[in-house]
Amino acid sequence: MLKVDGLVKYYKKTLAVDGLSFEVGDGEIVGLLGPNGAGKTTILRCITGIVQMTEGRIEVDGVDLAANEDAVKRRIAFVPEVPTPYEMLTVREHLRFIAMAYQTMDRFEERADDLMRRFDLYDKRNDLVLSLSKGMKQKLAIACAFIHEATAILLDEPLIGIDPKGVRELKDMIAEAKARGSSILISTHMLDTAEHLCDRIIILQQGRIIAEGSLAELHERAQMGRDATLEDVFLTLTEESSAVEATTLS
Amino acid sequence: MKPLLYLELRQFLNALKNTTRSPRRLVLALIIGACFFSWFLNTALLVTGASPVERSGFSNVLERHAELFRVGAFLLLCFGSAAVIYQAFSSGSLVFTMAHIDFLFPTPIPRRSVLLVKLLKDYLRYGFWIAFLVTCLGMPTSAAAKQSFFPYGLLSIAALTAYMIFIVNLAHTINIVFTFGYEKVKQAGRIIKPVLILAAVSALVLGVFQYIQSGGDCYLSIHRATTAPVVKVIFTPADWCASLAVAPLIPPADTDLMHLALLWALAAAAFAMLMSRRENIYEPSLGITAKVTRMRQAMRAGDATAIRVEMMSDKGRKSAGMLVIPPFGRGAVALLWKGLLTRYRMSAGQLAAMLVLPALLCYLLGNFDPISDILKYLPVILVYLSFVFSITVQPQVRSELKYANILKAMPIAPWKVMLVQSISGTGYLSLGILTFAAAMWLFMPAARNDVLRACVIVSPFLGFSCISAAVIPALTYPDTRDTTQNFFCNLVGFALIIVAAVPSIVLGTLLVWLTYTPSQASPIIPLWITVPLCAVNLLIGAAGVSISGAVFRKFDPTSE
Repeated sequence: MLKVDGLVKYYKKTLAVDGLSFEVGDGEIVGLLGPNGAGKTTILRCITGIVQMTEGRIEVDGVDLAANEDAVKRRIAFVPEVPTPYEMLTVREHLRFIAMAYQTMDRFEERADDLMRRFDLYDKRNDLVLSLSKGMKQKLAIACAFIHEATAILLDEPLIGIDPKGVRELKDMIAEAKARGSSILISTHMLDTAEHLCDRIIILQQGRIIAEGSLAELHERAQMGRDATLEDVFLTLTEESSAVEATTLS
Repeated sequence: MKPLLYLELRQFLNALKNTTRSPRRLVLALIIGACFFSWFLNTALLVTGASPVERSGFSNVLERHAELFRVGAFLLLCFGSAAVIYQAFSSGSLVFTMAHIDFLFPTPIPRRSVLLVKLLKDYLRYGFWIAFLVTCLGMPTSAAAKQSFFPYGLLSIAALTAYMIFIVNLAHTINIVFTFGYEKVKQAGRIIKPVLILAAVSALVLGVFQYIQSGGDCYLSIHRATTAPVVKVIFTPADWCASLAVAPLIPPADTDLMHLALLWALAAAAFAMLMSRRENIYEPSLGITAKVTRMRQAMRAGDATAIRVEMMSDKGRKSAGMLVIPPFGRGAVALLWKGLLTRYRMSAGQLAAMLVLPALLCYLLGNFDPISDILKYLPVILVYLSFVFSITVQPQVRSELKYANILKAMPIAPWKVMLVQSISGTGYLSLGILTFAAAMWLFMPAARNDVLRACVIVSPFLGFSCISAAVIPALTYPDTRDTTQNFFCNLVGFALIIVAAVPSIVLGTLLVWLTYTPSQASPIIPLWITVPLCAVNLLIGAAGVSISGAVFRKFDPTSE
C-alpha cells in the first residue's frame, strides 16, 4: 500500500504541491491526471526520494520514507517521463546495473531474458543503449522498472513513444503486478488510457486534488451522464476549479 | 558502492571499445592523440634544451616582471572563486547526468555513496585538466625564461588542484544548505555576499588611490588593489595558491610548502563538511543538470543559436522586448536583415559587455607600463582578431543550416543564400573590429598610427574571405549531432581559413617590407597598400561564396 499524507512541496518560495493526501491500495491502479504544471511529476519525485518533501508523510507498506528511505526505495519501481538511459551501457548491462542497485541479483538472467523478449530487446541485448531508438529506450526503462518485484510501481507517462505491441505488453505487466498485489500509480495525459486502465482517478490542479474517485464517482461529481468520457469530465472539473480560483482571488 | 563501481567501469570500458571498434572514431582519436603528443614532446624538448627557441623579448619581460604573473594568477583565482561561491547561493552546482536522475536517484543506493563516487570522479577530472593546462602553459613559459618547469611545476599542479577542490566543495555545501534552509540561513547569505562585495570595493578604492598616486600606471594600481587588507584576508588561500602556481618562475620559499599543506588541509576539511550534510543532494542538482545537458548538447553540436538561447533562458528573457525591429527588404536582403537582427537577441548585460570590455582592455593595456614598448604595433592584433572571429562564425552558419529545408524552398539563388551567410558573419566581425579599433584609438595614444588605419581597413575584407572559406565544410559536414563530422568540419574549416589567409599574409608582408619606413615615434605605412590586400580578399571571398553556393545547390544539408 502506498500512502501519501499532507504532502507539501516548496521549491524555494514556489508552492508545487499543497497538502496532498491519497492512498493506493494493494492491487489497485490509480491514475494521476492534471494539466501541465499541476504537480504530478513532483509528487512522483517526492515518493521516489529524488526531491525532498517540505512537509507530510509518505509510506510504502507501512514503512516511512523519512525514517527509512532505502527500505522504501527498495519497494518502489519508477518509470520516468522521457527516460534517458546510460548510453554507454549495453541493454543487458543496464538491466544488470539496476538489478544490482536493488540487490535482486537472484534469478537475474531468467528475469532479464524474459523482460527483454517481451519488449523486443533480446536481439539488441549486447548493443549499446546509444544505438537504440527513442521507443526502445522507453521499453528499456519499463523493463528496468520490472526487473525487481516492487510493491509500489510509479509510472510517469509510460505509454508515450512505444509501439502497439509494447503498449500491450506494458498493460499485461501492469495487470500481472496488480494481480500480485502491487500498488500502481500512473501519471498520464492520455485520458483514454487512464479511463480503461485505472480503478480510481485523482485529478490535480495547481498542486491540489480537485476530484478523486472511480470513473462513475467522477461522472457524478461533474454532474455528467454515464455516456460522458473522462475527457469531458476532466475538462469540466478543471475549468470549474479554475473559475472558483479566479472568483476567490478577485 | 558495488553497483556504482560496476556502472563507472562498464561505461569506461564500453567507451574505449566503442572508440576502437569504429574506424572513423579511432582515426579521430589517433589524430587528436598525435597532435597532443607531438605538441607535448615539442614543449618538453624546449625544457631539455635540445633546441630552445630564443625569445629574448619575452625572456626580458619574465625577468623584469615575474611578479606580474603572480598577480595575474591571484586575480584569476579571486575572480573565479568569488564567481563560483556567489553563484552557489542561487543555482545548483552538483551536475549529474540525466541518466543518473532517471535511473540512479530512485534506487536505494545511499546518497552518500553516489556523492562520493561523483566527487572522486570530479577530482580526477580537475587534476587531469589542471596538470594538462599547467604543463601546456608552464613548459614553454619556463623555457622562455630559461628555467626548468620541473620539479616546481608539480607544486603548481598540486596547489591548483587543492584550491579547486576546496572552492568546489565549499560551493556545493553552500548550495545544499541554501536550497533547503532558505529562510533559516537567509541572514547568513546577507553577510557572506556583502563581504565579497566589500572585498571588491576595498580593492577598487586602493587601486584608484594608487592610480592617482602613480600618475595612471594600471599595473601598479592592480598590484596595489590585490594587496588590499580585506582582499588579502578573504582570499588568503588564493594568495597561497597564486604564489605556488608561479613556482617554476619564482622558486618557492619554505612557507610556500607549508601553504601547500594548508591548501590540502582546507580541501580535505571542505570535503568532510560536504560529506557530512544530511540534506537531499539530488534536488538542487535537477535544474542545473538539465540545463548543463542542454548546453553540452548545443556545444557538442556547435549550435551557436542553441547556445545563445540557453544563455538567454538563464537570464529569464522571454520576449524580444526593445529588440523588436520591423522586417526589411525582399529575398536575399530580407534574409540578411533577419540574420543580422536575430544575433542581437541577447541580454542587455551581454550587449553592454561587448562594448565595455574592449574599452576597458584597451585602457588597461594603454596604461600598462611593462608592455609600453610594443603598444604601437598592437593594432596588428585586429588582423588576428578577424582570423579568430571567422573561426567562430562557422558554428553560427551550421546552426542556420539546420533550417536548410526552409532556405532551399525559398526563391533565392543558392549562391545568394551563401553570400548572406558570409556577409552577415562579416558584418558582426566588422562591428567587433571597429569597436576594438575605436577603443584603441581612444585609450591607447601610442596605437594611433598608420598600422591601426591599415588594419581597420583590411581586417573586414580578410574576415570576409576567411568566413566564405569556413562556410564550405559546414555544408559538407552538416550533421551537428555527429562528433566525427563536427571534428572534421572544424579541422577542414580551420585549414581552409588558413588557405584563405595565406595570400594576404604573403602580399601584406611583401608590401609592408617594400614600403615600410622605420620611425622612432610610430611606424609609417602608406594607405595605398590596403587596396591590393582588400581586392585579393574580395576575390577569395567571392570564390568561396561561389563554391559554397554550388555545394548548397547539390547537397541537402539536412541529410545525415
